[in-house]
Formats: sequence, C-alpha cells, structure tokens
Amino acid sequence: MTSTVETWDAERMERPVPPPGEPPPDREVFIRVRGLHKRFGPRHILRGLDLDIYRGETLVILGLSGSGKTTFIKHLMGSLTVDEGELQVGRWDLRQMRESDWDDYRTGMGVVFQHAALLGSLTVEENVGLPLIEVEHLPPDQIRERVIAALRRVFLPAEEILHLKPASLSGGMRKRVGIARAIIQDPALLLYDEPTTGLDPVTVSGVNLLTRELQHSLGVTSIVITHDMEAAFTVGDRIAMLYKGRIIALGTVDEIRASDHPVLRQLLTGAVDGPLTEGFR
Amino acid sequence: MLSVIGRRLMDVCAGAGESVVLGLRTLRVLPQFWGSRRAIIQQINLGGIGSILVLSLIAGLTGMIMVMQMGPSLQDYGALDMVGGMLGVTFTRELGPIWAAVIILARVGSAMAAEIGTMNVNEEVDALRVMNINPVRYLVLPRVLALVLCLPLLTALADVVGLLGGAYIAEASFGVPYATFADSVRDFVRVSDVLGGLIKSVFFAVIIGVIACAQGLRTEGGAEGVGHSTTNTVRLCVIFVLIADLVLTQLLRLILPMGIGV
Repeated sequence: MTSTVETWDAERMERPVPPPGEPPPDREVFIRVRGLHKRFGPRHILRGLDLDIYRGETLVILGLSGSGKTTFIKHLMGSLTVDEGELQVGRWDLRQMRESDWDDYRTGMGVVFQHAALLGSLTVEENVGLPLIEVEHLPPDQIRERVIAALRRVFLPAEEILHLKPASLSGGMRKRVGIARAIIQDPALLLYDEPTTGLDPVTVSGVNLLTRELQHSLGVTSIVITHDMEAAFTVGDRIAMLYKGRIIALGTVDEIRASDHPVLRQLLTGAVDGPLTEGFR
Repeated sequence: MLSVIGRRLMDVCAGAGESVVLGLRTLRVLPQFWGSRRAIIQQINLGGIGSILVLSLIAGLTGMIMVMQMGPSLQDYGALDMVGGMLGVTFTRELGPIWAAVIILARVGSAMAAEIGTMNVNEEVDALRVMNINPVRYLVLPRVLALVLCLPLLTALADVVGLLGGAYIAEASFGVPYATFADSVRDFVRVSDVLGGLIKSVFFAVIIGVIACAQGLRTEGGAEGVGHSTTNTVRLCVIFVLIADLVLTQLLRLILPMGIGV
C-alpha cells in the first residue's frame, strides 16, 4: 500500500498538497479526484481536492465539521455538481453526466446516511426493499427473499423485524437496516456518512466491525466519512485527513498513527490547543 | 421596515417560482400515476376522509349563520322565500370551494409541508434520489393527485351540508318550510354554478398540493426550518388560492353561463 503521509509545518498546511503519486501497478484506481473545487456563494468549501481511491479498499476521510467531508461525498452521490476540477468514478466522468447516466451510476452505489434516513411511514421490509419495489419492480416474494438476505448480512433477526416501523427499532438497529438497504442492490461503491454518530460505544464497535466485514464479504469500494478516530482506525485500509477543503495527509492506519502532522496530532490526542482550535481561544 | 416588506415579497415570489417549477415537474411524471396508486389511496385516507367531519361542521354552521344574517333583511323586503336560492348560489359558487380549500390547507397542506420538510431534513429525500427514486414521482405526485380527487368531493359535501344547515335555521327561526327552501334552491342554482365551484376546487387542490410539497422540499435547518416551511405554506396557499379564485371567477363567468339573470 502506498504511503503519502508527509510532515507539515503550520505554513505548509495552507498550501495545496501535490496529487498523490502513481498507484502501484497491482491497484486499480476506482475514484480519481483532481483539483476539485466547490463554492457556496462566498464560502470556498473544497479548495483543490486531489485523491485516488483504489477498487476494493476502504478509505476513511477524517475531518472536523465544515472541513468539506460531506460536500465531497455529496459530489459522489450526485447531489452536488463539480464547480471546477475532475471527478471520475469507474467509467463515469461526473462532470459530464446526462440524466439517464445518473440512474445507471447510482444503481451501482449504496449510501449509509448519518441517521440512517429510513422512511418513517414504511416498514423495515419496505424500507430495505424500496429500490427493488420502486426501481426494479420485482415480485413481492423475490423482494422479501432479498430483503431477508440483506438483513441477515448485517446480523439482524430478519423475520422478527420485517413488519416493524423504524421508530420501534433502536439506533443501532436502524443503522444496520440503513446498511442493509445500501447493500441490497450489490453496489460497487458504498458511502458511509458518519455512520457511528450518535450511537453508544458498544453499537459503534458493532457498526465498525460490520463495515469491515462487509468490505471483505462484498469486496466493495467503501468511503467512510467520520471524525471518530477509533472508527477510522478500525475500518480503514487507508485514511485521508481533510482540512480546509484539501487533503493534508493520506496513508495507512499505522502511517497516520505515526504522523507528526500538527492537525492530525491534535485530532489524535484530543488536545485543546493546536491548529484546529486556532482563533477559538 | 421597507427591507422587511421587500424580503417578504421576495420570499413569496421565490416560493411561487419554485412551486411553478415543481408543478411542471409533477406534470412530467403524471403518466406514471398508476405506479403510485397505493400511495394515492393512502393519502386520500389520511387527508380527504379525515377532513369530512370538520368540514361538515364548519359548512353546516356557516350555512346557519348566513341564513341568520340574511333572514331579517329578506324578511323586510318580503323575499324570505328566496333565502334558499341565495344561500345555494353563495355556497356552490364561492363558500363551498373556499371552505373545502381552507380545511384541506389547514389539515392536510400544512401537514404535507411538515412531513416532506422533516423527510428532507432527515436526508430521506436524498436517500430516495440515491436509490434512483424520483422524489417528485414518489412524494409529490400521489399527494397532489389525492387532493385533486378529494377536494371536489369535499366541495360538494360542503355545498350540501351548508344548505342543510341553512334550511334548518330558515325553518326554525323564520318559518320557511323545507319544501319552499328546496324549491328556491332549484330555481336559483344552475348546474353551471355547481360545476364552476367544482372546477375551482380542482385548481385549489393543485395550488395547495404543489405549494405544500415545494415548501417541504426546500426545507433546511432542522425543526425551525420545518416550522418555517409550514407557516410559509399556509401564507402562500391563502394568497394564491384567493388570487386563483379571483381569476377563475372571471374566467368561468365568460366560459359558463353562470347564475341568475343569465
């Protein structure tokens, strides 16, 4: 696995990072990001993002609130358009997509939302099977079969919860149902948007292990957005640190752990003083 | 002060613009309505049927109050026998569709904006998009169609119950026999009056449904945003239903041979 962790002093942090080096010959780049910019009025959120994500890996993107994590993932979901730069996912160039292309592209993608985003008026079965009902128009017995398989895959007692509404499930179960919905169409790309936010420590460990297990069993490329360091170290093959709209560090778990980058050090140690809290005190 | 008025006006214009765009997008997915039949029935159950009782109560009371107000004046002119007809024309042309629209707006429109707004804030609408499910087809179309089916029926109900309430007071307070009241309604109210009211109600249904959904889909910022969208829905719907009423009344006068003396 390639290492692009570098040490940065405070001045260098503000400058753009050079794009990551060529991937090793045995790894295929699945997502290629070059010079990605996004502005919302006067706010410049992404400031020239450069990143390569390899097929089949789990990349964790770390960063504080407002660093641009969700903005980046929304580009991949097709909820935001590229202002400037390149964004290639597999064979899809996301800058030049037609409406029909988005349908094909999204069929190969699953998203686990921060608060699961289950539809409150539907049962667990209808929620998980929603794309099969509404898009694939499969017969009910086939839908039930696949829903049960997906729920079992995330270690839920499928038959017991099929008819329940999301409101009757615990936070951890809701999250797992959300994951089951994300994987039901066998996606090639799984996006996790802060999957452990608001969960108790035991459930957090369960969701982290599940994320890891799914990557191994499904072989999908996964991107996990989080600011939880423990979650990042548990699920990530590689970790990228997003700070002020740019990737400031990228490497394996061990490399990130050993990094002396001041922003990473502050995030790792939870220190009150440092570049992340500059201007707050 | 001026800036506040200007901002409010811009808000109304933006809301109207978004609603027009959403209305056109809803029209585009209209051919797919059969796939939403279950959701349409569900929405009719939730909104339309649930509004019957409160609408009947309000229409009945309005009919009673109208006769109480008109009765003494008509008595002075010796025209008490015409009270049924006057009430009938007022209800079928104006009060029936307006009351039905107001009740649907209060009970269903604001709830629609709050429900879709909450879904938007909770990323459920994003989840639909990611699953290749068009939110306009899945959320907006069944709601608007349910209102279009319900509101004319509720308008007809308001017309009937309003007249029944009026007939009761006419008989109890002014001694107008039920048969005289009914004859007067028959003499004065034309098919075109009833038809005009029902046509208006279809337009009101579209306005309420589209504005409520548009406000829901533009909701941002948690519970406060949901509250804001609900308030905006009521405000915009009242404005645009009344504007539509004015325009439609004029148009229907040209198209349909309405009312007495025509």
